[in-house]
Amino acid sequence: MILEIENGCFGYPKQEEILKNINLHLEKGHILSVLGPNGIGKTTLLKCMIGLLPWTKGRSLLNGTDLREMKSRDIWNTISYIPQAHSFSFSYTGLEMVMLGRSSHLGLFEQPGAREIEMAEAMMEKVGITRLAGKDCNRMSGGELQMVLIARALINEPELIILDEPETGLDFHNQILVLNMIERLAHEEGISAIMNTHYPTNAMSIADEAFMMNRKGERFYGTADSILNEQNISRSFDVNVIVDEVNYKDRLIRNIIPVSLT
Amino acid sequence: MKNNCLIKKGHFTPLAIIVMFALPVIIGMICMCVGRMEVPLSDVVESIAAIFTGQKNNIQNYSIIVNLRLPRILMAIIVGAGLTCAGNTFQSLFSNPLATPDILGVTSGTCVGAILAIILSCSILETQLIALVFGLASVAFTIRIAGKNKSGSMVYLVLAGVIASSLFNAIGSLLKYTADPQDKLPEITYWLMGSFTSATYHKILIGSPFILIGIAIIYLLRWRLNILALSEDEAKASGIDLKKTRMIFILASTIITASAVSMCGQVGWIGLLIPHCARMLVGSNNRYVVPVSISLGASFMILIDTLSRTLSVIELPLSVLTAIIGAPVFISLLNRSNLR
Repeated sequence: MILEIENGCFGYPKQEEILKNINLHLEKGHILSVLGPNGIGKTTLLKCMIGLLPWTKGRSLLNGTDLREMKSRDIWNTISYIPQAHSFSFSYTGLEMVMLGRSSHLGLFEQPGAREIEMAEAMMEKVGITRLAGKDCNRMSGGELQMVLIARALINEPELIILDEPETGLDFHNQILVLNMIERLAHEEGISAIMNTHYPTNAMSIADEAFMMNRKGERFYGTADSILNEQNISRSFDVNVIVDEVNYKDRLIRNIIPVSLT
Repeated sequence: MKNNCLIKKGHFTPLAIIVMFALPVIIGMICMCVGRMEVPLSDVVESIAAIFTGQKNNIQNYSIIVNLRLPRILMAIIVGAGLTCAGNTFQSLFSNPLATPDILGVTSGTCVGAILAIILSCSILETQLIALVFGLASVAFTIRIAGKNKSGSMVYLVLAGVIASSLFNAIGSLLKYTADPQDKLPEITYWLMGSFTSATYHKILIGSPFILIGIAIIYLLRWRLNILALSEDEAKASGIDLKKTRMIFILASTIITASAVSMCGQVGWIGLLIPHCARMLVGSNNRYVVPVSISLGASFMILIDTLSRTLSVIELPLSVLTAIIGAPVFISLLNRSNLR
């Protein structure tokens, strides 16, 4: 078990608690997908899980050790965090951005050298974005930037990747590109992933487990197949949905279609 | 990586390194020739060599070069490099391309010290020391106000800087108001506008160690500035000790600014202008921006100082020149980089 959340609670100061008694666990090589309506605290949950925000009660265990007892360097050697897409005040090139991912392995006065450049180039090739090495990050498209950020996360050689809405705002091609990448990393290379998403269909297609929250205070947690059904999604998002099953090349694809407000 | 004639495979090319070192040296040499007394380049070289050999062939030229122009140029190099370095650090630290070295109120604090010293008729060296102490105290004050906020957000620090700055400006104005308008007030006003007129080796000796230490720290840690310029969460998730790293950079840059202002008064613009010029040359990676801007900052400051003492019969204040020359240069650079 790579990550375990025990009884996590969180509320911003002087505000009502938004996360109550969260219990989650993630196995090596598994993908956990977090779903819920806007503003329910999905990003907050991700940040609390990995210690970017402090749980007010409860704790996170990384490979069995309480995060608060670990050195920040050791935590971030193991976890890579990819925030929601945003622009940067200074525009680094793709290669420079990817190299920033090595920082938790470098000493105080160390700078990335020939070895890091090689690693970054190899990683960019692996992810298929060699052409972006010299491109300005602020001039990249959403899909390109997301792949650069994934490469930046991978060069850290993590055991766990946290992705905040990795496929939001991407076109079909790039959505599949990013999702396939996450799936391959988890199921072939054993790098666990936790991702927020607004698309139950995407969660269904790659996630092993799903965690869904709603405004009624209900929590649905279990295997993605069992959680992401018409009833639960309908209760969580206050919409009527139909789940459509299609057979495509010996693969059962479940498509979740929102049809109307409840 | 932008591979061009300056950078190849993540390193500066030998050409780039030579140019960076040669630029301030050559500009410094040429600028030592000009002034009210024209001194040929050969005499400049001879005079500087005489410092080491003791062979003074032309006492007058030796005295002009070694006692008058050399200290000014050395001071310009140190102040130019320091302020540029500090400006660039604050820009990365606050992820704000418009940050300047005085963002935390250092400059206003230093000025209060200087005004006080001038009113009390202190000597030039005493003025510098008092200004330096006030500058450092003002940063301590800023960090203390900001420290009340537990989350350690940078917004509070900027806010604290604004508060400290306006408070010290008010105190400065009050002091100026009480100053004797016949002799003290003009002296204060002139000091505030910045000048290297009173440059001596003693002054340099007092001010430069802090600046050089600050530059060295920033230079050695410069790659980390790239991480600090990312969003707060990304910086935390990079595994560096965020609070400590930020504090090191803040201390280094404020010590530089306080020392620089206490040596030569306010020199605006350079901390904003030069880092941007450097970024236009080598991109935003601080690994290259810091060395390039140190070299450019030193060279630009020598030029400005030379203009200030040669343009007219009276010396023109530095901050006036940096703005008058800096603004059009900056506008043209911006237009050119937009077209690309």
